[in-house]
Amino acid sequence: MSEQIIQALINGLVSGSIYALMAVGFTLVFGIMHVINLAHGELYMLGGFSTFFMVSIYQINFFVALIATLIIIGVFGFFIEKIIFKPLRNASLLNTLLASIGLSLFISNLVLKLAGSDMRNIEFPFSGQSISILGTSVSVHRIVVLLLTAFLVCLLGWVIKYTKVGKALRATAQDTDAAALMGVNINLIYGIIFAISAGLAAVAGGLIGSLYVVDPSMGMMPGMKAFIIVILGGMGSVVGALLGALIFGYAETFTTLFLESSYQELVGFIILILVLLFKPSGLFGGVNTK
Amino acid sequence: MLNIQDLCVNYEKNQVIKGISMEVKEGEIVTLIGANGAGKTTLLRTISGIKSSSSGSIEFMGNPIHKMPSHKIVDLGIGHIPEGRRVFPEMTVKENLEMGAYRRKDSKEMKKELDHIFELFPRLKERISQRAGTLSGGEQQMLAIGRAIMLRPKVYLFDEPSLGIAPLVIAEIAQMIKRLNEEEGATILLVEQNANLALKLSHRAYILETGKISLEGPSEELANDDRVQKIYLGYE
Amino acid sequence: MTKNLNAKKLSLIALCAIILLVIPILLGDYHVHVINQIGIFIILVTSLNLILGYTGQLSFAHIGLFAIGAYTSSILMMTYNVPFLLSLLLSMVASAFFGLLVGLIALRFTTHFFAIVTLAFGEIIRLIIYNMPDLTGGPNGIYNIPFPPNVFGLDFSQRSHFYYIILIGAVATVLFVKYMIGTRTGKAMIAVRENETFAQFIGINTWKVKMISFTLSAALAGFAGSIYAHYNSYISPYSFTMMESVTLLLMVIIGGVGTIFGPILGAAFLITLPELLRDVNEWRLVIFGALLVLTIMFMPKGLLGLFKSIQEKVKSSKKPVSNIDSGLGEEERKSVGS
Repeated sequence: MSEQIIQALINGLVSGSIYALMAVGFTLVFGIMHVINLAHGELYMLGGFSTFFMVSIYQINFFVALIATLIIIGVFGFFIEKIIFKPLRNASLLNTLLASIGLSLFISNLVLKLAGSDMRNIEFPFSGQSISILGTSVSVHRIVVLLLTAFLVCLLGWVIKYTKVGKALRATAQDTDAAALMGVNINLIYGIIFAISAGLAAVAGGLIGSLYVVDPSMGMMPGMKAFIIVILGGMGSVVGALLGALIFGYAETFTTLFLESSYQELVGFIILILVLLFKPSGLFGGVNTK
Repeated sequence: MLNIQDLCVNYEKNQVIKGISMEVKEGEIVTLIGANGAGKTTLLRTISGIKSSSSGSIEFMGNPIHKMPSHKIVDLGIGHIPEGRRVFPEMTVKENLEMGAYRRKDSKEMKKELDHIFELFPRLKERISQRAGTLSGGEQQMLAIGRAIMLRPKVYLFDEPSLGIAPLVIAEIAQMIKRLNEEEGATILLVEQNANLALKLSHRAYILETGKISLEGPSEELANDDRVQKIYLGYE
Repeated sequence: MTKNLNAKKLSLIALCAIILLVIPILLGDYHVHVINQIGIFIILVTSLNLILGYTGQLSFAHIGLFAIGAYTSSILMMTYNVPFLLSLLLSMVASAFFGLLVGLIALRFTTHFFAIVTLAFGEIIRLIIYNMPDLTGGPNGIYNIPFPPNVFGLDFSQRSHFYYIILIGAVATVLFVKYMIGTRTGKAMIAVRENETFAQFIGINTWKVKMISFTLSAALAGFAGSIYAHYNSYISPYSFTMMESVTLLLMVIIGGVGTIFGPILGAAFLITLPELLRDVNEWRLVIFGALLVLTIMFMPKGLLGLFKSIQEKVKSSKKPVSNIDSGLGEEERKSVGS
């Protein structure tokens, strides 16, 4: 029994890490650009496919493929911001929301049409190996996922705190106009934020694709969950997104453990309703619930 | 230095600035006075590029800047100190000042320049590691000015520096503005609601009413003008 | 002059009425089927238009309320032998009731949060339907839903006859919404959409207005659901997914939000399009997605809005509005004119 619990603890952490990659990007985009991108899940899905193609068809090393995916989908995200979200900057919140929904629909179904609905798995170099932790065997695969996401999150934190771009990001987040007056190229920064968000989501997709499967519709639920997690953590708060992701990951994992797995989908929505009923600004949010 | 011709600026369907022409010559302190809603802040925001104009032109040292993005306008040498100070609240005093040097590549001079700012504003040195959001209004204003000085601009745009500041501190700020102009030869466009202060500080003045210039001239003259005295200086 | 216009209007309406009544006789079964589907969705899209187009609140819950209407009506008739009209009525009540509950929670929030709460509820409804096979048939759905009983010699198992039920339903719905918009509450809804803060400022109880709008639109969605169930004779949770929710949304937007004819245009457009493009049906959702993005970017007021803006451009261009103030420049202002 306790072996199950330890597995669940690890699985919850793994889930939480993947969600963290998605939620952090989502909250950055919302916090700084005030855009809610409901196509975020599709960037995750594209990341999965990109990694899959590189590994399976071009025989590229998994980790190299992940890095390449981060860059490629990141750049793609940059252009999506330029082409779709920039022109809508003055549009109402509602319209931007709707446009991102349309984008989500478009991308997911385009991939469905082009790649077919088959589920595919991405080969992982150390699959099948496991090590022993606290008397339970844990797959190396999961450990690597954890380490990778931890690394990425720390890297992001370092960039934000210590680099010039990071400073510009922080300035833009705190006061966009003032940042512009200091010479920050706001358009460029917005593109960069979106690219970071896309890149992180893409890596999440690649990692999940190796743990489970890649398929065109895989983005919808995680995209939704990223939104819920960000609400849970507080819109615009990176720390909130990280914490919220962990809570969410564990909530799902333990629901599957103690109840049926078909209730897993419900958990997310119930969490959402609870948060909105009791603390709409989330764990760390101080922003308006608008 | 700064030349504005027939500028029109809209917010959606509302025309806020309806054809303004004015200029600021090198080394001058020019002030723009007007009531709330007259369009003063909009004008400054349009000059520095964070708001776009719908027609007319703005030239800065011969360069047309009315279609330029704001970061390039900063490069050209315009330093806008916005209304309400707008310091970066989560950053320290030091980080705020360093943001002023964001565009520049040479950070070797940074220490020297920071020291210079602290010379001008000793209070800021005391609070060097404090988060800017916790400073008082007057201190934030000084920080905002210091940050702008770090830009090493050729023209300063001051947007209502006296707003919400205690009178003693206002005097300090006024002194600073004068000092910038006289000692460092800075050209200044000062937008103010406090007409008294503005007319005393400046060489020339424009009066803005509902988007149009209704009066202009040397500040001393305007200060002695009957109508100005009644409406803006509060005389009876 | 007015007499002539009224006569014109009346004869136009009469013409439309005649055409509408005669359609099933003129057209073949397949075409009638398409029109029937459009008709059902006109009701549903109009309901969404009431809360979204007129009151300005983006709801994703309506697909769930549509499902509640469909399932309630089917279960009542099949398991409890409730007669058709009563089932129809009760399913509207059920949808309105759940609409009220959802509204109570969701309407505490605006725009994004409201949207996602309604989305959550839409999904929760679907998941509950999916997970209660004893009541709802679960993923298998409900088969053999009975047709409404024969009346006036009309056999409603025939599509061309069922058409008249849908026609009456759609006309009634559209007229009801038209009437609703003209009432004080209806105008308040529009005020809320335009600027909620201002609406509150002038004394409108915006929460109450939104609740009324939401609940009424829920009832209408339930109405559409009931008709849908009895027409198609089969329902399953797969007809009520988020994808359908988005398609519904698209119908409202493409047609033109906040108009009477918008939903009609939108439903017609988005249902015939896939039928016309039968071969490229797999691209349907890809096209829808692209359409939505492009509509928002270039035609935010939908097809109707496009017509209207072309109309406006053809007319004289308007002068910008200027502020009123007093001061030194009064003489100047006077001479410049208005």
